[in-house]
Amino acid sequence: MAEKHDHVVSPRLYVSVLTALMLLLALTLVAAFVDLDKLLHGGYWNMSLAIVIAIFKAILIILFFMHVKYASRVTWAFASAAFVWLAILLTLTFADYGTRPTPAESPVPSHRLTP
Amino acid sequence: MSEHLVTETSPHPVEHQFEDRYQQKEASTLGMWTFLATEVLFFGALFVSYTLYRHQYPDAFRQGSLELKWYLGGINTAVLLLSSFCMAMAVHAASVGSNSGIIRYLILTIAVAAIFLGIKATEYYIEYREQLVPALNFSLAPPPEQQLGALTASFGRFDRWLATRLHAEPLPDGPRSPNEKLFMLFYFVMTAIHATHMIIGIAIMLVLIWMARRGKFSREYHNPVECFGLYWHFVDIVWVFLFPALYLLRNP
Amino acid sequence: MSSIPYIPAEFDPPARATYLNAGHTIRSWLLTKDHKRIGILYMVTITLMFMVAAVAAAMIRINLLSPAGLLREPTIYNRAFTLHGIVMVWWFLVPSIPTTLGNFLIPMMIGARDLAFPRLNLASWYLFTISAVMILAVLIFGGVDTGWTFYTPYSSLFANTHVTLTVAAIFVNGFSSIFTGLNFIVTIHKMRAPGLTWFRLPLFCWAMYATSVIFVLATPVLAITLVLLAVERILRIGIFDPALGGDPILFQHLFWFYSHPVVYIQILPTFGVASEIITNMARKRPFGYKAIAFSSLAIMLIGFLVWGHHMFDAGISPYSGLVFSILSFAVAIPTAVKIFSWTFTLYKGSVALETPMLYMVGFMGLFTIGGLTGVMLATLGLDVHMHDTYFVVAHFHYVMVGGAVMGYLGGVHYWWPKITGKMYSEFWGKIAAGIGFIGFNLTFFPQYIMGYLGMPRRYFAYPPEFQVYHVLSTAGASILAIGYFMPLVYLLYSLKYGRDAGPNPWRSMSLEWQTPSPPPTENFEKTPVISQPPYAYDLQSPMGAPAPVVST
Repeated sequence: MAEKHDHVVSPRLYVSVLTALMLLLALTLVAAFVDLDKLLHGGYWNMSLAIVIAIFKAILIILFFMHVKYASRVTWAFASAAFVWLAILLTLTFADYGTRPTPAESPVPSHRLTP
Repeated sequence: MSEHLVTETSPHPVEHQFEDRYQQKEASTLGMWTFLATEVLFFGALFVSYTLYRHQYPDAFRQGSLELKWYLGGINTAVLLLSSFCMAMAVHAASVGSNSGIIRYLILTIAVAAIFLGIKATEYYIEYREQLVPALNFSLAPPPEQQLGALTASFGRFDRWLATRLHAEPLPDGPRSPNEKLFMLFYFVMTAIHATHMIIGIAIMLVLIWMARRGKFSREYHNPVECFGLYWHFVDIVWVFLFPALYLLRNP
Repeated sequence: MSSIPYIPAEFDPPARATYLNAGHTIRSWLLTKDHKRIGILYMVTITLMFMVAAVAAAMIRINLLSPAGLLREPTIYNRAFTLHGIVMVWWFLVPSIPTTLGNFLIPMMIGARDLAFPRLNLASWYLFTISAVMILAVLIFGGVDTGWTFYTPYSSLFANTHVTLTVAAIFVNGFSSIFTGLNFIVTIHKMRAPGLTWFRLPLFCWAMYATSVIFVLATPVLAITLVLLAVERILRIGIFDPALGGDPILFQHLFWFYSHPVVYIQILPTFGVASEIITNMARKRPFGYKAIAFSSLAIMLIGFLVWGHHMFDAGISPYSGLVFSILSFAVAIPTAVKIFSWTFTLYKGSVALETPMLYMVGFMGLFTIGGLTGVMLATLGLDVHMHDTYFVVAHFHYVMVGGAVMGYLGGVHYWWPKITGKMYSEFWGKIAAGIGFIGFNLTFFPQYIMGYLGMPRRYFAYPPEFQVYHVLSTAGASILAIGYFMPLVYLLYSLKYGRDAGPNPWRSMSLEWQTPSPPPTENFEKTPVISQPPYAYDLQSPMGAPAPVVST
């Protein structure tokens, strides 16, 4: 079961990754101060953009700092599985909260209103 | 069959349940990844709860986010990314068998992590003086400037100056929304749990430094450093998501 | 006059070294790294905790003999059913097979000397025992009365009982589970003997793998939920308190995200045990090995998608109720695949009705009943009528007691000769299995009926028309108690007076049986090399000299 596992990543690559991460951080900050929601007329653009940038940062850290790019498929599967399961929690919980009837759709029957 | 049972130059023998050092290393790494998966779900459930409330109380949560010092959070993010880099360098030193390199970079990582914790502690102090801490002193009425200490007041002034310079929305005057308390609770719980993970990480790094000083690591055996590196990068990733979620809710 | 020459004791051959006699001090047990000894340590702890929870059950059943309630006050009853649920779930059912049989058998089934992380394994047991001490402290201080589900805001803001200590105990217990699951996953991935491909693994290992994934991915969510509950209780801030803007249903979402998969933690290992015992005692290969293996994974995955079916009446949106209902139907499919596969394994097999097999046959029938009533409960319209009634209580006891406990007992009986080297009394084994079966059905079948007729659960007193069912149920519980007490007696008796079992009394093809009983500490003298699947039972030779699976 031995694999050629003594792969050494070069420090120069780490420096490049760090630079990229800092640039993405700067981008996050700039984006936070531009009111995309007003520009694009509503919606959750700002938050979505911030999360997308954060995901990019996380992917860089996972692939290079955590060596997943050079690791076996099993490692890759384990790393992704955790996020898939988190997605399950998020999706099905939002499936409830997102489909609740609004107060307008379910008014209180008049006989239950306090006098 | 027996050639790979004994390691060549590593001072640390292969444990009895493993066949060779490759199996030992793969098992350790996979074990750490499994543990990190549990941590993803541990923090993840907090993020899910936070997101749900943020959707339910967008204004209160935006107000709460404006109370936080985004520039301190931003500096801290850069600091933590730097510490991740130092950690990666420590793992690199381990993989080429340099115990002194490990020590050097671990000390750097600890120093940078200490900066993060120092800034975080300052933030906590400021939030305390501004009476934002739930269960301790959260008040719906922001305290007047005279009651704030010098540090807190100067940060407040810097905040307002920065907001005007950036044409950004300043913290509104007037009473706070009651649901801001919920935001602050999530802020403190999430950052405190994150900080606890960092403190535990620093303690482990001290142990690793002690081990490196005794020459325990080599090219063939440096599993603890590598596995701890994974943990530290994970703690960094959590903050990478915490920062925009908590500090940058400027435009819901 | 004796024809057997007298040979003095000093000429006796030295006793064979086994894991049981490798060190006799308490220290050698409490500081062991041997997975087999740790399995036995767990067996002792969970047996004690089972007794605690059984006493709580006795209090429940005695109280319900009379419609006015026989315990002095309702609050005592509330604490009894809460404690029964909490201790049974977290200190008996969840650990039962994984920490005893799983710990003992997994390395042996894959040809390894131990688990991947033996010290972590010992740490798991210590965490488990510490958590047991904590929950016993709760019991001594007066217990908890929130129900095992801790629904907020009662548990966080209004209960006057020891909620915080209880959730702390469960938190510690959770980490014990997480570490065990982690250990099993890494072991099965990385420590299989040469030649042991995934599809040559015993089905018990597939089941334990699926269980371990649930341990690892579900338990952390419970951990953080309990932290938030404790924070709300200690700091009095409304995370889940509606008066302060919090949402009690969020607690339920987070709680059931773990607590539904936990029931699959409780039953999947039994499925693994069933695959082993049924194939062995029918002397047949499993019908549909891959189907059984993949269905374990499918149950694990789909099990994470159905938690909302505990919340149909809580106030979730009807659309999400619909989604959860359909997904809950879906989880029955891989389960049915297993039941059919075992049935077809038995078909035209040469079936031996030894005690373990009796437990398995009982399990298949009772679990099917329990499982089908689960599908009934998953039906939105029916659940509105039956939620929080005794129908639910009967359903989960059929699957957890008729299913998981029978699996545990069957497994303990089956592997008893391997663990101890001794054989128990087959006569008493069969009697106890029969008594348990009768007692179980008498206890829980009336509960289906009264639940459907409207008897609510967790009620201290009830309308008199339900009394006859409760009396039948309590009578059944007394018989069930006898059925559980008997194995304790004859199994312990066999330790001293049982006949030596020999290495492989069931003539199994599986790797763990190709060692002496009890096995030596290192399990195998040389790492075995596997060249064929483990179920090569040959019907042509029904006396079953097993073909060797091991070449060294």
